[in-house]
Amino acid sequence: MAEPTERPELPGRLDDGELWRCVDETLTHVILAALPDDAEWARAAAVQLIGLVRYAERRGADTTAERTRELARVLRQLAANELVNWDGQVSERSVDDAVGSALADAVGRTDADADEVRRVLRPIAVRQLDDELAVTAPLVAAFRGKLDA
Amino acid sequence: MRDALQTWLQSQRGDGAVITDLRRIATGNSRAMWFVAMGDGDRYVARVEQGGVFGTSGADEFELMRAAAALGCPVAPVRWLEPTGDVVGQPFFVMDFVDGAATGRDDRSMSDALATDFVRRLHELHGTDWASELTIDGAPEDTTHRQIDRWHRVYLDATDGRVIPLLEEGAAWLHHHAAPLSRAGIVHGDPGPGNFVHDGSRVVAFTDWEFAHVGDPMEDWAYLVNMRGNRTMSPEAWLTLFRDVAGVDVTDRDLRYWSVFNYFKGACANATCRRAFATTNPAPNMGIIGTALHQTFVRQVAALIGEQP
Repeated sequence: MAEPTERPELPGRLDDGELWRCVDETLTHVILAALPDDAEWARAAAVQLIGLVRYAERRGADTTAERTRELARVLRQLAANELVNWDGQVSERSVDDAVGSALADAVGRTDADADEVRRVLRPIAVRQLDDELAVTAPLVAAFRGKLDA
Repeated sequence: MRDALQTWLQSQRGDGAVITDLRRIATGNSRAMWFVAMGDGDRYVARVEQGGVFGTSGADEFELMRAAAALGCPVAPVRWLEPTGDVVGQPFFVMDFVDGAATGRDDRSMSDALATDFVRRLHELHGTDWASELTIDGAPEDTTHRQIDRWHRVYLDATDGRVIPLLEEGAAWLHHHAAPLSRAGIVHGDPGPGNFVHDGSRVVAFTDWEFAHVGDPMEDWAYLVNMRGNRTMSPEAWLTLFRDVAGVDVTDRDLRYWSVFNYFKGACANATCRRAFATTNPAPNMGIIGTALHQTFVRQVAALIGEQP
């Protein structure tokens, strides 16, 4: 007689991971599999929806506030820079306004302030975009009809 | 939709013809395209807006297509415009269905003969006497600056004024580096495989005119090289074709500037899909275009500008 195996206790409430997995499996193996090849629009929409489901599963917590605080720290460092005009509020809108204005005002200038904006501030904005793209990029493949494994 | 569209078509046509076939054609994200067959054999395409997607209007598209047809360019004849959204819930217009082939959704191939004819017909479009059919606000030589401002407004409207810093830099860079325009022409704005109908070797009709405007034709050439046509042939092959068929020389500077412009335009246009996804059009393609594709285009703007002031 086999020993009873230890199984984790199941909570009664379905968790988000279970729900996303259910949607993914059903869309991939039931809905998409049942759509005829000539139902191009429906097939494209199904693949894109699966891509969104997988994105929802893996994307983690919203890091917008963290990114805003990081940019705010850089803006404080550049307080003496004449291209940085920031009201000091650590809100997404206020910080993005100040960063956008500094980047735009630096265009066409070769002085030290403009160089500092490009050398110190710009790489942070670009890296933050890359961080976001690392999570969202698989959606581009889904948009084009391809799914990751 | 069928009953409303049929009643409206009957009033436009002035007869009682019924719709015998109505189905969505599986192309395009900016507009829903519906194939419509009538009992008397007439066939149309109804091009329906999708809740402000890409910040373009069917009315403007209708007008550009009408003008292009009048100027002798290959385009499906447009029939009727419904700009209010009262009939099917969104503005739309109706054009004749054009027989021919179109590449599939993800197919970017073109035969040599077709590519040659495509470049020739696009160059003809650029060279038409647009002023005989269209009026524009402002001086033709300022169209590049107006286009930058237009797309800048489109993205800010979509984000409720929330600034995207790298797009602010992009707009400033484009204004700063804009070259004087010697001659404005009709720019298609989204030319290439997938956006025209052909017979295998010749263009039958350019389609998808929602980005068309009067501007610098270099926008279209750069778009073909780096965007819609970038899987069709190499940049060198495109540039050689432009030179041989159209006598157009695209310099490295042109290519870089207009690539920045096209990615900027795309990023701004794509931002509208985030708004549409949250409001009128919660379809998966809207969610993806409004996030991942938008970000990809912003990244391209930043990469092309680099650290050059």
